[in-house]
Amino acid sequence: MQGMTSTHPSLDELRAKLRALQPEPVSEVRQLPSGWDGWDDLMGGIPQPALWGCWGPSGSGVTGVGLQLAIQLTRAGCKVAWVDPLHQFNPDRFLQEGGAPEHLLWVRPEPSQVGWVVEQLLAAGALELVLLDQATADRAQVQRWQRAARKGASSLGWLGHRSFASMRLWAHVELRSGRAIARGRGVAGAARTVPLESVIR
Amino acid sequence: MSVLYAYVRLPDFPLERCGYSTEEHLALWEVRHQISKVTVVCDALRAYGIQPGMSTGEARALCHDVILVPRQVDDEREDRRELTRTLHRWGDRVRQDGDEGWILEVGGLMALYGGPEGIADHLRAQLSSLGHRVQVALAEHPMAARILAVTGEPAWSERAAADRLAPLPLEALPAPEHWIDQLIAVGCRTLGDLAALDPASVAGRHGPAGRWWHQVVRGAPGEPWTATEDVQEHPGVAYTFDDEVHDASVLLARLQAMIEACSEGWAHEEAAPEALRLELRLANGEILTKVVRRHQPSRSPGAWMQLWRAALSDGRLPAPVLRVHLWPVGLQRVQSEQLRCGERRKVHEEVDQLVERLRLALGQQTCVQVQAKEAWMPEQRWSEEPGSQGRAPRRDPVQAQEGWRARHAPSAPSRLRRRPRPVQVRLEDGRPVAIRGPRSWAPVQPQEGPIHLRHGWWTPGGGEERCYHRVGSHRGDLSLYERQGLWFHQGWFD
Repeated sequence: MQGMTSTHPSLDELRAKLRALQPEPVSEVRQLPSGWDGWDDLMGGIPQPALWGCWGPSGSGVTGVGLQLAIQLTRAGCKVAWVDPLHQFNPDRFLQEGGAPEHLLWVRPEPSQVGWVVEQLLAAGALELVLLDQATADRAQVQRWQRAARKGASSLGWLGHRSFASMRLWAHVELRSGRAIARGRGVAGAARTVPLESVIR
Repeated sequence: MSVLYAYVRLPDFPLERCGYSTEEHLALWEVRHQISKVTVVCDALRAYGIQPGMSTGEARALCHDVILVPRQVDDEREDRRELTRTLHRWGDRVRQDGDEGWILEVGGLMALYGGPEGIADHLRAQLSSLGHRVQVALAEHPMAARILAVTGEPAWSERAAADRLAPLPLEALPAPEHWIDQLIAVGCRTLGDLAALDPASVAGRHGPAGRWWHQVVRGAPGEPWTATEDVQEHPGVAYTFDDEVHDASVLLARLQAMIEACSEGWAHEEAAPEALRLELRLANGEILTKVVRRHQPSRSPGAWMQLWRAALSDGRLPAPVLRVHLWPVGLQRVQSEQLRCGERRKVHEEVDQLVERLRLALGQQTCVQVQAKEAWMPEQRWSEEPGSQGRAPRRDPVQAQEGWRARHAPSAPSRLRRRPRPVQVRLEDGRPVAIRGPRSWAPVQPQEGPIHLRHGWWTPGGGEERCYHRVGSHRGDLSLYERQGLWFHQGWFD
C-alpha cells in the first residue's frame, strides 16, 4: 500500500524532534530543578504547584524514584515530607544514599488520616515537595489536594503500584517494561519515554 | 491547477502517542457504563481476535501478555491540537477532520515542493519523523482526498480524481448508510457507477446532500478555503453524527452533552468561558458558525443551554448537519487565589509550627524527623526524634579501617517491614531457592549473599553476627532476607 510508511526505528530521537517542534505547554506551573538529570530530562523538574504520580508494578522502582527525589532535594536544602501510611519507609536507605535528614519530615498517619494530613502539608507552603507513598484517594480528595497545592505553591508526588490515569493529575510517570513513560497535561506533546536506568539508581 | 487538497491520516495515532510501537501487544481501555472496555487495539492484537468493545478481561483471556493502558481522551485531544499546530507550519489553511485526519489546502505550495508528489513526500517524511504511521493522498476536493487516503490509494496520480475514485467500492464513501443502501438497491456497486448517474435524477431523489456527494465522485474541485484561525485559541470538542441531523432538538441534545463534558474540564482548570462558538458542518459542504455570549464568564451547562435554545429556537437548520464543533472563547480564571507565573511561594506556616500542629492532632509519633547515628546494625543507624540519640556508641576498633563498612554493609531496601517477618526457606548450597508463601512454596532467585555483618566480637560476650541475602522473587521484585538462626523478611527494593 503506497502512501504509508513504517515507524522510525529510533523512537526516542523522534520524540525529541517532536518536542523540539512543539512549543512548551502554557501553564502557571513552574518546574523546580530536582538536581537529578534523569528526572529533569523526563519531567522537566518538580512541577509546582501541581500533583503528579509515579506508578509501576511492585519492584519496578517506584519507591526508589521517590527516595532519590527526596535525597536530591534535601541535599539542596529543600524541605520534603514523606507521608508513609504503611510505615514502610526505610530511613537507613535515605541516609545511606546521602540524604540530608534535617530537611526531611517523616509523617506516618493512619490510612484514614492521609487525606487531611496531605492537605495540611501542601497548604502550609513550607515544603517544596510532599511525597505520598502507597495510598488511595478518590477524585474529590484529589481536587482538595489540588486546591491545597495551589494555596501553598507545593508539589505532591504520589507513588503507587496502580495507575493514577483516572485522577487527572498534572503529569504521571509509568515505570514499565524497562522504560519510564511520562504523560499528562504537564508533558509537552506526546508521551516522553526514557530508559528506566536513567531514572533509577 | 489552482486548488489542491492533501489529506493526512494517522491511523495509529492513539497508540503511537502512548510511546509504544505498533508491534507491541497494546490496547487502550476506557470505563464505559462502569465496565472497563477496550477501545483501541493494535494490529498485532487483532490477530488474536481482540476487537474494540471487548472487556479488558476478555482481552486478557485471548492474549495473556496484552499491555492494557488506560486511554486519556483529554490528553489525546491535546496531542491532536499540538499536531495541528505542527501542520500549521505548512500554511494557514489546515483543518482537523475527525480523530485521525487532517486536511491541508496545498495548491499554492506546488512550486515550492516540486509538485504534488513532492508535497506528499515531504508531508509523509515530516510526520514519520515524529514517530507516526502516515497515509497521504492529494486531490482537487478534500472529500476525494480523504476517500483516497482512507482506502490506501496512491498519494497522487496524473489521472483525474473521478478516474481514481471510479474503481473504488461504494462503501468507501463516508455517506449515511441508508443512502448507500438506496444506491446499492438501484444497482450501483462502485463510485464510478454513482458518477455515471444523471445529476438531475440524483438531486431529485436524494436532495442537496446527494447532489454534493455526486459532485465529489465526478471529480468536481472543492471551494478554496479561507485561512483558519489559530487553533491554540480554540480548544474545544467535536462530534461527528452517525447520520445526517435534520432536527435542531437532536443537535441541542448533543450540545448539552458536549457542554457538560467541557464544564467538567473547566471546573478542573478553575476557568470559565465568556462565549461559546459553534461550528456546524452541513451536508451541502458549507460550514455554519454561531456564537453565544454571556455578560460574565460561566461554566454552568444550564446557563449556556438557555442561550443555545434561544439561538436555535426556530428549530430549522439550513441543511442537514454532519458534524458539530464547540469552542470556548475567552476562558478566564475564576478563582482569585490562583497563583500567577513567577509569583513567589506563599509560606503560610513554618515547618516547626506545622509539625507541632500535626503532632497535637495525630500524636507525637506520627510526625517525626530522622537523625543519623553511628552504629553497626542497620536498624540502629538512625533515630526518630532529634536529640534522642541516647548513649554514644562504643568506639569501634575496626572504624579506622577505611571503607570497611561501605564495602561490607548490605545496601538498604527502600521499603522496610515494621517488624521482620519470619519465613520458611528452602536452601541449596546454603542459598535460598524457595520461600514458603501463604499457600505454597514459591521459587526464588538468589541475587547476592550471604553478606555477613558482625560486631562486638571484641567484647567478652562475642558480639552478634548476622547474615543477609538479596533474593529475587518469581515476579521480578527484590527483597532482603536476614538469617539469624531463623530466616526473616526485612523489606523490599522497590
